[in-house]
Amino acid sequence: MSAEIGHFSLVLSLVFSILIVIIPTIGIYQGKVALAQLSRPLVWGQMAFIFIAFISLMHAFLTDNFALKYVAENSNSQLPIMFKFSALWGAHEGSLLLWMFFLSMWSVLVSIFSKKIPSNFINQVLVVLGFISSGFLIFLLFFSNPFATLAIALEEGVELNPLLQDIGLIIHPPMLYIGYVGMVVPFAFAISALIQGRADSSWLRWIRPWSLVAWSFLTIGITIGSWWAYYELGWGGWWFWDPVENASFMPWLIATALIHSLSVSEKRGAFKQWTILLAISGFSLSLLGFFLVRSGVLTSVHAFSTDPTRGLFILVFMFIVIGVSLIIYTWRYNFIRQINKFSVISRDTGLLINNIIFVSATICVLLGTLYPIIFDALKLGKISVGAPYFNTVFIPILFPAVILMAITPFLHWKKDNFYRILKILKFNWIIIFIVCVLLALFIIDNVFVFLAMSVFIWIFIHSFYLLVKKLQTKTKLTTSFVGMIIAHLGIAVFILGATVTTQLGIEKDVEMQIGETKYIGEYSFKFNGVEQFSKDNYKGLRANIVVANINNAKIINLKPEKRFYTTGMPMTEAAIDAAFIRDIYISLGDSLENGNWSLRIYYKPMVRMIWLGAIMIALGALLAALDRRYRLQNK
Amino acid sequence: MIMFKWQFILLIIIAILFIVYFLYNPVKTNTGKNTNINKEIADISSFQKKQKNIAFSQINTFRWSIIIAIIIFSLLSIYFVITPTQNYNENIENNDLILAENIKELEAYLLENPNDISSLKALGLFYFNLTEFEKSIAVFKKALQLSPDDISLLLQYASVIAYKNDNSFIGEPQVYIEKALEINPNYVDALYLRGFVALDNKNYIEANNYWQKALSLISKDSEARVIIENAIDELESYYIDEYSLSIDILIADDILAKRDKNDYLMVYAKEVDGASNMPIAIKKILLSEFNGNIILTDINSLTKKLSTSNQFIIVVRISSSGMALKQEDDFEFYSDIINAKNTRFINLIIE
Repeated sequence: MSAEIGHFSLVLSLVFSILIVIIPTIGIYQGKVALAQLSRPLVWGQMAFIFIAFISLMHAFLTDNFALKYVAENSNSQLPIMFKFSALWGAHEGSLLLWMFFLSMWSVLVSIFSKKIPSNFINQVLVVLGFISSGFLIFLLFFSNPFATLAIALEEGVELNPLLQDIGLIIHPPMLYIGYVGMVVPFAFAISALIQGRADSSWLRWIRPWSLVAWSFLTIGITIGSWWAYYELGWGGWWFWDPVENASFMPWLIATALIHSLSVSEKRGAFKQWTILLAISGFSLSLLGFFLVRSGVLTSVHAFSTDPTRGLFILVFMFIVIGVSLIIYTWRYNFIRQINKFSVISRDTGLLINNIIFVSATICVLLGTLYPIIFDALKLGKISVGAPYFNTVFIPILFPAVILMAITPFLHWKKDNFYRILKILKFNWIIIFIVCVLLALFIIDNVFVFLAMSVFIWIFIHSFYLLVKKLQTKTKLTTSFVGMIIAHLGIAVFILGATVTTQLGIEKDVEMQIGETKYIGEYSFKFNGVEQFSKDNYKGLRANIVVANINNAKIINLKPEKRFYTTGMPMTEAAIDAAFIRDIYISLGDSLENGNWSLRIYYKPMVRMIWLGAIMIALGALLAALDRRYRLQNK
Repeated sequence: MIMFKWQFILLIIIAILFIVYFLYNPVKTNTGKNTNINKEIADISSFQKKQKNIAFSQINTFRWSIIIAIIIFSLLSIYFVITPTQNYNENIENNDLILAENIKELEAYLLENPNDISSLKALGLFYFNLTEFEKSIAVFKKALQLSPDDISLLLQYASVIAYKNDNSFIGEPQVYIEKALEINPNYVDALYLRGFVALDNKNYIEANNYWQKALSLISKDSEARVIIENAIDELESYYIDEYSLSIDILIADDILAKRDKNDYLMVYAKEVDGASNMPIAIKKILLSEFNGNIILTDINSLTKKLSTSNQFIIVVRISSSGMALKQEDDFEFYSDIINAKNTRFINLIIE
């Protein structure tokens, strides 16, 4: 019964979202306040019904209701309870319900925390959000209903994909979806501003904290996904340029440009065309990602389904949303067109270059992601665009942005001159130059690591000096400023970690017999054999490897596993000894005919700095969103 | 399709009351609190004018309550008229779309007629064809509860479980197959599947016996015959892994010239010190089909396993009658004594 209530609640939430589009619109354009003001209660009601649906589906998972097709296909009675909980979003239908839940949550948050925004404007924003919700709910109910029932209930469910039976599934999708879906808020604000002809600084100020929070969660989501892939897939990689990874990375790049563009728009009222276009592009790329994951055009660990009907619906919906948005943008372009004069040496220019670089980087990723799909669709054959393309094209594009990132905060708005900058930063540059030369001569012999280290020092010294200068002015440190410093340092930490682990990491595929010892880097690996074990819903083989540091004789015992779930799907569970400066990572391969075992051993220096850097970026954005001036405007 | 229940009516009433409450008690507008922000608005005067107009606009709350209630009922009605009853077509390749359509129809039919055995059987088979074994098992199980002595159902159920268990007929499938054979010991499909149970138990002779019995019960032109014969051929390949004796035979041309192409070539092993005069293992083929090599395995054993004999001789007989007892015009050739444990291959030259 609870599942039927869930289904019915979902239908009612669709009814509410359609009402959000119809009733407040009549209210806004016929001047009927009571109708216009219904937007907020309707948004609350919509979320309440989606919440009921969400709880109903969760109840179905927790009570093993295998009469529900979705539950039967993605859970079984042996599944540990924490994974029954997360199995809800382990496949297409449930994850779409989670997506809807967060979309409605963002709508409710906008309705609650926008009390300083004119009602007519916020009602318009909620109408746009209602329209987007309607599209997703129609897709959910007609093409992806998680409450579809089987004529005959199964006694036992199939199995949740073993790859997803991990803590990563509990955290990664919710975090990612909060960020992904959060891109709808700046989009709704931008479209509403265009519709009402209100592209002024005020709405730009309202939009920034929303964008920062969405961007922060998107960063956390992508970071957790990277960490999960690293330890779960057994390949030791942290980024694969998988098309679906790219699908989440593109909105992130555009959102990065957006939050920087917003800072110009907010402070100087400039770059409005940029900001609005970036807000539209950010959500459009979220929709593109949604299409790539759920239409079946991609084969990926993330791809959910291969149903062409679904793909067609999403494609039509995507074209409607993007097409109408761009038509409105063109229609209202004269409203937002603005000529702001600023000199070549100015903070405005720095941030403009930042926008151009991030948009170029997004286009580079977009091309690499879509090119094989378009090539295939035109029946020109199958091609693969992988890491070599992205690493060759993407990294050089972003390199200037990283250099500029450190200097731009020192520049004045509108007009500055190079000699002033030279005067205040020359001492920094001399120190950086000396340190880099010393590093090149005596310590680092890898050119890429040297470049990464130089960038790290460059950003670190400039950020530190910026902080010192700020403290010297005796003005109060704002969370926005601290957030910026932390986020920029995060970029430096990330670059260092990513480069060092890629360039200096060691990967060895070895064959070992019981009792044998191998030496890799400064570590010895003694293979003590393999034991059988069983746990919850799987059985497995667990190797015992004693790792010792040759220099300090520190001994670690690592136990990589090979698991066999009830579906028969084998899973490699790597054993990792994690430390701040390095990871030792072992995954168990197959038993060989001669009784030996194959093992893959990695030594990954500074790999943790990749995620540390990313978390710093996210933390910086959250701090910036908490800035006092945004809270004041909501009081 | 959702069946309407009182809980749904309650939800609709709550939804309507919730909206009507806010129609009568609108959420307070933000107008007037945002003067600081409005200062920055370029078209502030027109905006404030609009806001004033809104403030003075009144609506007929009751009428709008009715309108909204009608919209809600209309939207719900539209949904339940056009909504698909089930949504089953994901993860199914294009080739299976027709099957998926059939499943949809059967599902809908079974919701109304849950005890229709033939529909349940069909649904179980459809699921089986889509390799959705769990669903197929659930459907067959329900059908078996309704008709526990239906032999074809017992065998279909056993087959699906076996397929799900990586093609293993041991365990639950065996129970259902044997139950089918209890009901009808000469049911060909049951004998055929029982052969697989024996095969999984590595009891090749038993498997062969079940399949031979099945063969004896079906007509010569039956398609099933080919399937069973193929299974027997494959059985020999299993057995070769256990014990086999490969015999290369070269028959002199002058001997062959005297024989008819419809004569039989009978090759058998005969124990040297055995009490019985019966061959241990025998293979009989048409002389015209002979390609120079014969493999004897335990599967060809008649009395005891070839592999358990210590010593035997190979007899090659060319016979026009093909009868077990030697006839007058039969030609026979005897090999030297063969030690079974050490010999896997022999070469016979018949001159």
